[in-house]
Amino acid sequence: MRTLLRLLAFSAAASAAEQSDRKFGRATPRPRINGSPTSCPARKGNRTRLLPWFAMTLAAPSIAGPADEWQPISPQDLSMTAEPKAPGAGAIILYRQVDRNDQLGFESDYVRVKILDESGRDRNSTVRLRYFGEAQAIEDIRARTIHTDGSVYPFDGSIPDEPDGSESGQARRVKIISLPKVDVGSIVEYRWRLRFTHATGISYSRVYNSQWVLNDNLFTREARFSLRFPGGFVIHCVWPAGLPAGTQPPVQGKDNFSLVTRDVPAFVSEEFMPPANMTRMRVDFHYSVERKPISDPGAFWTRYSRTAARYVDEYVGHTGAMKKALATVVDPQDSDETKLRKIYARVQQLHNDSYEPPAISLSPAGTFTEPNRDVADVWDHQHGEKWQITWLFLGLARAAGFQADPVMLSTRDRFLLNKSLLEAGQLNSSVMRVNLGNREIYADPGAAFNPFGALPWYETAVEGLRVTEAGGDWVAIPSLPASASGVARRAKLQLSSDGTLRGSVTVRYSGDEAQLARLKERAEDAAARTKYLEGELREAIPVVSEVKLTNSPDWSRDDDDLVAEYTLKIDGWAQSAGQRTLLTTGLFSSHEMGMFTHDTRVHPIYFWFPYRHTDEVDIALPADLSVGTLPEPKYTEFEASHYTFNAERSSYGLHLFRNVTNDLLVLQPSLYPQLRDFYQSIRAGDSEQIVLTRASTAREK
Amino acid sequence: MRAGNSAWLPRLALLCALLHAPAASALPSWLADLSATLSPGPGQSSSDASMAVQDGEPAVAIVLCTQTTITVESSGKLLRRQRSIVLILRPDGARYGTMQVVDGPGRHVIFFRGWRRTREGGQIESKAEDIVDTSPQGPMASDLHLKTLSMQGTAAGSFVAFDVEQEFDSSRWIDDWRFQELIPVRQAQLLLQLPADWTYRASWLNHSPVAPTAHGPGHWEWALENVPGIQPEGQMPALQGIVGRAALSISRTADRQVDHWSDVGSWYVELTKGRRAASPEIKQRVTELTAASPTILAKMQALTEFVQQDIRYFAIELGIGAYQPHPAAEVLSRGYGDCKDKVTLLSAMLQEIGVDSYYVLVNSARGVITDSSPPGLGFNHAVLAIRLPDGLDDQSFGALVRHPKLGRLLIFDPSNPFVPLGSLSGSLQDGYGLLVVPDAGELIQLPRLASRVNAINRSATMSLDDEGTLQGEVRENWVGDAAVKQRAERRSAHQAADQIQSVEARIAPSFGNVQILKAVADDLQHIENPVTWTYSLRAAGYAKVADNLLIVRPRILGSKTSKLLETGRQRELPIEFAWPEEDTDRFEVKLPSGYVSDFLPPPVDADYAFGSYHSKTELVGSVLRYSRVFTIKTSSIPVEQAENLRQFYRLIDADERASAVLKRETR
Repeated sequence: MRTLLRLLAFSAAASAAEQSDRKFGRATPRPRINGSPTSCPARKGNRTRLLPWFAMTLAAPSIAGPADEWQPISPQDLSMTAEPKAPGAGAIILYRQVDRNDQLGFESDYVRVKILDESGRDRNSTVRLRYFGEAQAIEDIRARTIHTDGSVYPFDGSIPDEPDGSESGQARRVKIISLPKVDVGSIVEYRWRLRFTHATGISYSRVYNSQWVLNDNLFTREARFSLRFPGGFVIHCVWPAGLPAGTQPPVQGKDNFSLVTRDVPAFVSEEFMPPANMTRMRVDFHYSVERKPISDPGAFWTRYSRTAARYVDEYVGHTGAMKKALATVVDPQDSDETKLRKIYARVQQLHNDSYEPPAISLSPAGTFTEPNRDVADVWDHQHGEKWQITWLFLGLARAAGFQADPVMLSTRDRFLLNKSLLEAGQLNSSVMRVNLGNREIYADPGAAFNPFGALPWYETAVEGLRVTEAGGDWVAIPSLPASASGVARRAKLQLSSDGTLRGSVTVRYSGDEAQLARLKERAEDAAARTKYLEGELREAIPVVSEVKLTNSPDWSRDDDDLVAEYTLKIDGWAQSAGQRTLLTTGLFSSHEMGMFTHDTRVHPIYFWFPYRHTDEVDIALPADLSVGTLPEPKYTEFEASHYTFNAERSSYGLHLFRNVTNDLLVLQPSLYPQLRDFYQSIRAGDSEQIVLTRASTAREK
Repeated sequence: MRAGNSAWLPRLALLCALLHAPAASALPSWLADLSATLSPGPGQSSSDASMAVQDGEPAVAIVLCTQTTITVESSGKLLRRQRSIVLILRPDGARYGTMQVVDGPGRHVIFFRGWRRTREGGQIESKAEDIVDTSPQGPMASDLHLKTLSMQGTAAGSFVAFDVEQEFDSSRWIDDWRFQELIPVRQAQLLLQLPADWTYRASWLNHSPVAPTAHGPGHWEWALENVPGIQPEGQMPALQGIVGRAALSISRTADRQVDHWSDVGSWYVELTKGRRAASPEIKQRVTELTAASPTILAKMQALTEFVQQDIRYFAIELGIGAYQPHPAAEVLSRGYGDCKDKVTLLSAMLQEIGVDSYYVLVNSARGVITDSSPPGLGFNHAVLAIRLPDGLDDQSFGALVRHPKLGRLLIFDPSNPFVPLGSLSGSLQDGYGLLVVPDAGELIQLPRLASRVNAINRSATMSLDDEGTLQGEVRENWVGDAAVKQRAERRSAHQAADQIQSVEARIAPSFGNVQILKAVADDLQHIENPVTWTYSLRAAGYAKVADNLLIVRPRILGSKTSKLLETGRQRELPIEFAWPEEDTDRFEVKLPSGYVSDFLPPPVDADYAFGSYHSKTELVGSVLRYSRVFTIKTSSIPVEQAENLRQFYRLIDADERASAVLKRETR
């Protein structure tokens, strides 16, 4: 619960931090998640009766906007050699314009780039325009290069058009423009028109999936955006990751929005950053065809809840079929918890189409081709998507007499829910809340390897909408504590006089750590899984080691830890130093070795889930060595994380204890220096030395 | 592997012949038969599964049969058909459910189809729309396309079959029959059918010659069985240089055979005829570029720098049908080109200042073309051999070849924007290339530069306080290919901050707690100079205090060791290095007062044929000094030396981790 509150507080803190930054003139972008400043009010379009979309496209005359023409270039832009606001940049965007027209179904784009050095030239001489081939077309491409003396070299080459990436099906495509005569100092500019080729039969929300991406991978000196929207819709816009510093929110006109922004920093990628949906600054527009526009979030979600509840009831409310199925699953004498656990375990046995290779290709023709229209079908077909399996669980649980409701939520591997954004599509997943005696549990059996009573990390620490006919309510789904997920290593080792460590190690993966390992290796065979586990331990040790898996871990269970047992040998772990031998303490320290080594940070720091990594190492010493000096115990904490290390003499010889507990989910970049210090402390602790003395030296002392 | 006895041929022929079945919704019956008789399934024993153990680990897939048929029609049209059947043994083997074919002018794909049958019986046949067409070699520079066919649902236990036929326009043909793969091949067959007035010559690479079986006039057959797969290893040689294959030179009896490299050279001379003609624009540009250059060397440098830096490079690999460069005038006009285009333009420009130069066709992966390679193709890159004018001092040029007739030839790669005139990147050193001279050609060995030409020379002056905090300045000189790497990193950096991050990432593994206080790079732009990094750092807790002891690691930063050979398996293949190198470190640490030496790590001296390592730690007054020289003398180490190399790296690892123990002086 603590982490949930921290996560939710993140939004407000971000907003406050942005105000603070503006006050002090800092340009660091801050994410903004909730609150009215991140969205424009719902706007009803003209009461124009909506024509079929295709008819409008055919009937409307083409219009030429500013983005369809080359803009004049100033002598200063021709001669500039650097941008002080983007030090070291190889290229910057001087000007960018996006004119989106959802009335007529096209978008005109214009980009002008200044090349400042060779790296900028290499990266920006070839332009790739990506689009979805089945729903979009790119046309009217124009491009040119302008040298510093003003000479212009129009692009007149061919434009290859090919699939983008290795995906089959050719849905994603790319057009490639290779600009001529690009030198350092050149300006390259290009414009094109993206046309939406949908005709009919496609939902409006897909047709009008309008978005302005504000921060490019290059610094942008000035960018202008406009959107012309059709009548008959309720339009909301939102900028969930905030606006660039100094940028005013979109301005609404009669049938359009517009926005101007300047000096937008380049988008950078960093380790442990939130999903791009939460960090890319953009303005999202959402259309609704509701007859009565709703601008009040409370009313919007209440109505959504009622509609969703009716749909859920239609899908799962096949009591007869469910009771019949239930009879094959539970025993009437079972306790409530046993019943629920049996139902959970049984639905998890269905073929899960969301994870397994497509069932249709594995089975004889004609099988698995029928859609699952309701939970009765899911049960009959014995397969389903993740959500269908979870909804089957709901149907069976209700048939068994449990009070159970679906909770719709946004998975935070994609984005954080913004309730002020009146867009139901952001609720992209559902879990079930079931009353079990005097407690409530959450369940998502459709998530592979997810044990009873737990949720996968991306469905925790979020708010969800419990949908009911009564209008529903928002519920806080807590995060599991750090103790619920982790890696625990237990080693019993013998040190030889030559410094070699050898012995056995048991590694126990629990909670989300176990689930992630099982998910990653779910399609692999035993040899590959052995290689994976041996590699995991080898990578945890900072030097060369010989690792051999000695047991057969249970990869199929979801309700138990994943336990791997090994033999381990490390040559030269202890080093002779004359009459002494030095033993480094951080045997399993590689994980933290490379974390947060950079000095600067732009984005918030984002961890998937709280975790605890614990190492307990017993080392038996050879007869000629005894413990001389032990490092001081260490304890360092930062926010909800802490590091503990202790080395002590034991009957076995030496006992080392190390624990890294991370109970953080999101951290503001302003706290990055402290976080970095925390990890520096861990690394410093892991590099401590135990001084062992030879018997003769000890006697001399 | 061994030559086949043909006993399996009737069955193979039957299986493969069934691949000719017309496209239909039902699969050919051969696949059903095959799965019933041969499918072992994962984890089950069978001859396929047992054969498919590679170095102790089960192979992910096995090629059950592959049949290549080359047919030359009397008109001279050449058809090449390849049919293969693969059994997927493990989940990782699913990638063998994909096949790629190069298509384009002179090599049209006329038939391409795939089938898949799962162990459970699910079966599909590919459709035309399943083939994805891409231009992997740069859209402007080549008309070649890559056709990719991925069969869905290729889980373990599946059979996948492909059938592809191509038509080639060529009166002379050099075929590369590759019968060895990363996975085992149980049966491989090559059928050659020639008209009466045609002939062939076969050359075998990485395999002893196999005699064909004649099946009547103009009809030959080669068969091999149980060809082991090649297990990939880190820093292994280029696969193309080590797989078993046969090169077939096919031509009309009356025509001249491709018997010598000079024949390939003559072909290329013909292909490039007129391409290096200087247009008025080229002449004018040469005049402009060399106007301020007082010497012939300065003029050469001006022209090479122009083509290197101002003519944009498109990554492209040469393939059959893509060897012909664009005319030099066109390359200058549009401002970009691939390797052969850049070579063509530079050659034309050099000619204008009276300097002759020649194409050199190479393969950018060392070892693909060797002095024992049969004359043929296999090149993927072009560089230039510049004939040095008489009287020009060549002392500073490492990339020099002395030719008996042409004299001093300077090998230069205008496609690499970071290697200055006189040097050559490590990947090209010590390899072989086809020097194309008027009316002929010959294979030459490219030069190998001295180890010291590629170096990282690092020095640090530090001080240590009583609490173990280390602080001071580091200076690094990156020379040769090492500098090229630095400059390439700079090119890929979006902004200046990225450069600092590269230093942070570089030094982080050497410290538990470190902060860079300042970092500056010099001479990133001037490729003829080393790249110099100067940075200051502060590392708290660097030295450990234990009672009256101070424990300090003399090797402050940088690592020369490697886990490459710590795989737990015996090395099977030679070890390739990017380039020979010689790196030096000199670190000085001023100690806090009152400490004397209790223990210093002993010096390390290791000398092998492939390299050496020498380190020394000493205490001079209150200064702890550490110095070392790490040398790799060669670009390739034979597999017999692998264990020595492993010991070499372990020894370096121990030295890098060793600590000096200092004791507080008692008065």
